[in-house]
Amino acid sequence: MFPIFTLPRSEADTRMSGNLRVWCNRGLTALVLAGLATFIFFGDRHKDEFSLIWRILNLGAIYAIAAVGYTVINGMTGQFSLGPHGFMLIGGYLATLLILPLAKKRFVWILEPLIEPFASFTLPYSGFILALLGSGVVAVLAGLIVGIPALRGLRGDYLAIATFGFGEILFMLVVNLPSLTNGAMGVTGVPTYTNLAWSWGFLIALAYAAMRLKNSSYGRALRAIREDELAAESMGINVFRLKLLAFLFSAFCAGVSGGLMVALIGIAYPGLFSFFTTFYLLLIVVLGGLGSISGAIVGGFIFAAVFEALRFIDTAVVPGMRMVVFAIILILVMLFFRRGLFGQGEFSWDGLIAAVQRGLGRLSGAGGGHGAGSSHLKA
Amino acid sequence: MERDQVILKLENLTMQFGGLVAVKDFLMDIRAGELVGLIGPNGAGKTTIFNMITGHYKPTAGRVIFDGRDITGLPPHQIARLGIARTFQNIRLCKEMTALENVLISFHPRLRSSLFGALLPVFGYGREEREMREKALGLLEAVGLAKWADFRAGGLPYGLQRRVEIARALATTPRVLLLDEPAAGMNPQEARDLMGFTLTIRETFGLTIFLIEHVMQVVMGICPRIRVIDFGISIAEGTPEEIRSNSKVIEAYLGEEARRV
Repeated sequence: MFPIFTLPRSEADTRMSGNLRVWCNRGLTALVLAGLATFIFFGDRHKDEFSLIWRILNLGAIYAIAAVGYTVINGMTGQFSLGPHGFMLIGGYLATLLILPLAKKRFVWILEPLIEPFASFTLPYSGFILALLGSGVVAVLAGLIVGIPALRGLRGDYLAIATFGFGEILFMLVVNLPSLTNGAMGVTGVPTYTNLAWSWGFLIALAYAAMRLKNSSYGRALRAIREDELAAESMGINVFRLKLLAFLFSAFCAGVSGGLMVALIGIAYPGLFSFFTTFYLLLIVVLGGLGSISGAIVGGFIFAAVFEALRFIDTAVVPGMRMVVFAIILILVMLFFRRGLFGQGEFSWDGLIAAVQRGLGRLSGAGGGHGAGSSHLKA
Repeated sequence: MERDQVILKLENLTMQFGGLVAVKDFLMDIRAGELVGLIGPNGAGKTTIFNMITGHYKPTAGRVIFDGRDITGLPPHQIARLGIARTFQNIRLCKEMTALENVLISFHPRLRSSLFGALLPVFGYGREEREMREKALGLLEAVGLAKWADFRAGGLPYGLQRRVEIARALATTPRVLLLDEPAAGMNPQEARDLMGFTLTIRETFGLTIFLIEHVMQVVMGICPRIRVIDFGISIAEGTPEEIRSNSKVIEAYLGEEARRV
């Protein structure tokens, strides 16, 4: 019922004092990052031996990237957007146009030729980072177009409907702009550049940015908007601009996520990111705790793993049955676990250490044969 | 600004909601350093006047002149930045945030660091954050809330929530402070504390205060000048003594019968 990894500050403060604790935590973080880098390096080298796990780890990171952005606008700022799949679609198609080899480009667009400048250039593997950044930037531009009118006048359900409409419009555009997207036939043969280095690299960078945003004055202003918009604007906060900022951040994350996804699975088609994608993301951020960056990341990986693990349901029972299972999970989370894994809090080493200590205390209390009442007493 | 100079000038403010005239031709000059009370029966249009000043409502007619500048129809956040701060009738704190964070929100409009400064660790945002925290703590200390800084605002006792709300308004460095029924729901002791508190912050921060209040003990106790409105129309203005004996005011509050008896 309660977030498990977060601690009230006062409790954490008593554990270790000041600078020592900060440096300890930084050391732990550095250690984990080094471990991750090693893992990514070897993971990518041996991806063929563990292809399913490798795939899940990539998918998890890709969902997590979009979810980190989504939790900033939906959770932190409290603006209910239903449009992330639209931004993922834009990002995915832009990445496709930028990295698809020229030969493929001539081959795939049979009905109508691909328009310039995309028809005459392509980025090599080393330019993949540009393609991904481009995906994010184009999603941000689209975010400006939809966000400026929608966020100026709308909130709550109305904003949700407007952003939902945006996703549907994009779908229709993708289907009906064959000279850019090859229409309903989609694009195959996209080079599969995505690997752990790219997906985890972007996840770490964007999650870091989101954490700094959350802990900064900007993040405070965003939370103030969620809690009481009227009060926030009465304190001089430009509510519209900050909402737009959060919206564009989420668009950027979604764009990058879409680009990575296309370069993971190698195809792009109009239905690749549908409203279901937004539903998945909603599930992820609610499961992790609305407004929690750590929650979005953990939720993304849990989702990817469970999604693959439940694949047998689709093949053995009825195709599409997985969605029902996920819908039930969402309902259960809303009923019994409303604040999610992290609430609005974040992962912290202090929180983890405290949780482990509590867990150990409970174990030793139970194993030592003492009465149930003794377990909460400190040694 | 010199004392006694008009800092807030309300010219024929009129607010009409459909066929209902909430406020009609409200005219008032408030001089720098003044502490003016605004009273009237429920639904008289007092909060509507505040909302017109702060930009939450756009007046149907009339102008708001602040420090010689026409601010009618500016959006609320700009008016707040110009130096008019307010509190709300029903306290509007960010309940899930701490008292300190509530005050820090008010510093955001004057943040020097850019967004990228806040996102990347190389532009010295950390120092500005520390400065803001120090200033916010100083402010909380000045209003006697220092020990509550890290408490969740929504969990504080009612009287303290009021103070946090006022502290948050003060953090915007206002020149004019609009207090909307600050004593509402307070017990007599809390109300007395609030009177002293209001006078203190006026001195400390050099404020001009415009105050809506239902608790007569408070408004009569601290406001040298009181304006009374009823059904959106000004019916009297004067010192507490003048207001107390004004027949129109008595009529508005107690009905016409009371005057005859």
